[in-house]
Amino acid sequence: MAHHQSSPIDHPEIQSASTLQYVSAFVLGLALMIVSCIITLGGGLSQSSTLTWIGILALIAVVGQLYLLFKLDLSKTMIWHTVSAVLTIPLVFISIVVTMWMFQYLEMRVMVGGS
Amino acid sequence: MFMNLQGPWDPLFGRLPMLLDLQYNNPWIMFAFALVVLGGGTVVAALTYYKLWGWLWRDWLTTVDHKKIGIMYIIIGLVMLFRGFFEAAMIRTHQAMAVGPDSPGILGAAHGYLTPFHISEIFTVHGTLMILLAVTPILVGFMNLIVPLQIGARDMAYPFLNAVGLWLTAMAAGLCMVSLFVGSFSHAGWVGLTPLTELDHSPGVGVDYWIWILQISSIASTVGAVNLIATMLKMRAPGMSLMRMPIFSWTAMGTNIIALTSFPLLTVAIALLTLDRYVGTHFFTADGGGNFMMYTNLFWLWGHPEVYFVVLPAFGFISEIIPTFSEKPLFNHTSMIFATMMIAGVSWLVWLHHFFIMGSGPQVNTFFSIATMLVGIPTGVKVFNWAFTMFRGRVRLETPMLWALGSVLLLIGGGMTGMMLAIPAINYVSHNSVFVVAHFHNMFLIIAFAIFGAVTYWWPKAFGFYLDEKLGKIFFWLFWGGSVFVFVPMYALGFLGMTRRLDYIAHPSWWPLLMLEVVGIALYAASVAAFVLQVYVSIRDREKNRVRTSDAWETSRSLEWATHCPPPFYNFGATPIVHSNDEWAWRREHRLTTLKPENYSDTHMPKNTAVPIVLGFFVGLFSIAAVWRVWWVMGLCVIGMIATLIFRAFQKDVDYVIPADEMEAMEREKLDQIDHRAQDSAQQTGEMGEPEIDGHAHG
Repeated sequence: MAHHQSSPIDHPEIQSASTLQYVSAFVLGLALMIVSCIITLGGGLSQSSTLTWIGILALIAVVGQLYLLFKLDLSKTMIWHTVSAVLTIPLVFISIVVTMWMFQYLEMRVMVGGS
Repeated sequence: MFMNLQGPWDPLFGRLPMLLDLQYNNPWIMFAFALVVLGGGTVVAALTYYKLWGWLWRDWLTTVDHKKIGIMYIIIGLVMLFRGFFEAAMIRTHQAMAVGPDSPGILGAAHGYLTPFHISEIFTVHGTLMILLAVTPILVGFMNLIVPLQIGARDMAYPFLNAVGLWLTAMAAGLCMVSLFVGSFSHAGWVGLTPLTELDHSPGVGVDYWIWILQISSIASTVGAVNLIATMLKMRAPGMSLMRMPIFSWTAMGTNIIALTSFPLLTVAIALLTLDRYVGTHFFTADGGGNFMMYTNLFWLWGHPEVYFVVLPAFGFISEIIPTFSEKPLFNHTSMIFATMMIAGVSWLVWLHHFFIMGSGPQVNTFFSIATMLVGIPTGVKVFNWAFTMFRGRVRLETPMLWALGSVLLLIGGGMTGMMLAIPAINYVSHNSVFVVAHFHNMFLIIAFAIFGAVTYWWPKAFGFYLDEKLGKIFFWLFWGGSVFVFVPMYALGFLGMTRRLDYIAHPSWWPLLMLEVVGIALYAASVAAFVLQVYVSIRDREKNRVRTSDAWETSRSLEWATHCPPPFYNFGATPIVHSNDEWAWRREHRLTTLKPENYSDTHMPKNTAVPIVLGFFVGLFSIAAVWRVWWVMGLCVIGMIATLIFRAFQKDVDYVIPADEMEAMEREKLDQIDHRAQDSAQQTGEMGEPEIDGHAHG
């Protein structure tokens, strides 16, 4: 063990805490959720464009939370966390997109009236 | 509450009143119960008689030392392996007995001696515990034990988290043992086939036991993975770049990246199933709007990476053993690292091959078929690397080497049948046949062989004396014989059309092959006896079989051999400086094998703590309460867990420092012992002369 942190408050992760960022993360999350609720409940859009729009809003929410709440950036303290998060992107892609592909074919081939 | 349960339920005792209706007239459970009471009773009595409870609590149960935690993981795994073997023996003998309409039936079974429900429970528990509670703890135990030593660290990055992982695993194993006597176990296969695992189709508590065992052990694996990855990234000794990290540590890295990314998927899949069973959602129902193939999909999204999670450390064992006993460096360390990481990467792209016949069509099947075959490339690289390591080496056929060679041979057989099963068309005839069962047992035997090789190889490092060589060889040949006699006929039966999970064999012409499998099981039983005898004899004769220097095999290559056998609690007297990816071999070549550093410095160590075992107690009680749906106990346990963690957060006194002079005194005592022993031996690899190449000290 090269270094010994005597006080937990000295950890760089804790030092980087910022009320402004936490509050803005909360406000961002809340605002995006209200907007997507309005889009979904309003019913003005077709099903596919509703899905597209709430998908985009969800993506903004995720990226915003990762940056504002989890502080994922390229600083020396956070680089390992950021790299780990980036490395999960292909896995999320594989598990969700390939699953959708598999089940789309499955439905087409085995369900009565499958599209 | 929440669900329409079959049978009684009351707010105070949950579903426990169900037990009043059950009848304990099954002689097999009585036999198992007697065995557990006898075994456990002997241990408890011995601990009390020799007044060892205090020692057990102080030195083992509250420890955060990675070596002791590793050893405890391995002990849990070996005990579970023993139980899993019993179940295997029951399946094999029952099937050999229940052949044809005229076959006799006893103990309430129409044929053979196990009722259909009972044999379903047995194959389910065999699969669940062999994979999650036997092989996984043994491998995690070895990674705990060896990785910090191999990278020159004092301990793991998070010693406390390490102990938490151990006690969660212990609770999962305990839950599995409880299920044997209290209630029943799942009958839906270790994969938990939906919708069979839904409450409508499995109204008992068996599936709930299975759910909580999986859930707890998967959380344990996730926290263990976090710990090992952080240890390898942040705590390597100076001079050890990532590419200089020994190959076993690299396989541990691959394995834990897989664990960290895939086990949360299992957690989620099982949590969704839990919601189905406990609050009546319809994620995986067939008739309530759920999609039960989605469960299979999620399960294997974890399940296939899990297959490589267990096989990569086994490849690591082989890669450490073969160079040592070929007296040569591992052929192409770099390509071995890349092959390991490639296997880890591809493990995420092949999961559909477990259900090729789902009906997702030729495009999807082709993609997964090709991805599956791609695994053969890095695996082939590994086999050739091992072969080239042995080529022109001075190969010594000592017990660890026998296990490693057996493992490589099995890999070739398992790999070939794996290539066959990677072809979707073949799956349409062989899916759910015992051919598949033989194939994956063949693959798991690679791991079993590598594990026993690793046990023999690192035993002198962990305990300071050798395992008996002669009994070890007998154990090896009996185990090899058992593997051949059980699984070669099983491959054949698969081609003859025998399906898996049968409680009755309608085809009398299969009987001779089933009897051959019973011969194999008998050989396995003999091998278990040989192993127990080997351990007993070795402990009895430990003074005679002491390891004389730090390098037990005299041709070992990596850093764990650069400290005492057994390693002291602080691992290394001074932090080692690393010069090569075969550090110990490098030091031997440069005559730098002294264990006496230039100077000692203050060493920072973690303190023992009882918090992990208390946390484990709450988790264990929580899961039993969850199985029997006693909500108030579950609530209390959650409060207990949170309170324990808050207590830990405010604990300030968690570490201490060994002063340099105290360290020097402890080290000098050990070094004197080594010198004393070394004078008795001509085969000293230390400062006192050349390492001897051909002869062997302990033979």
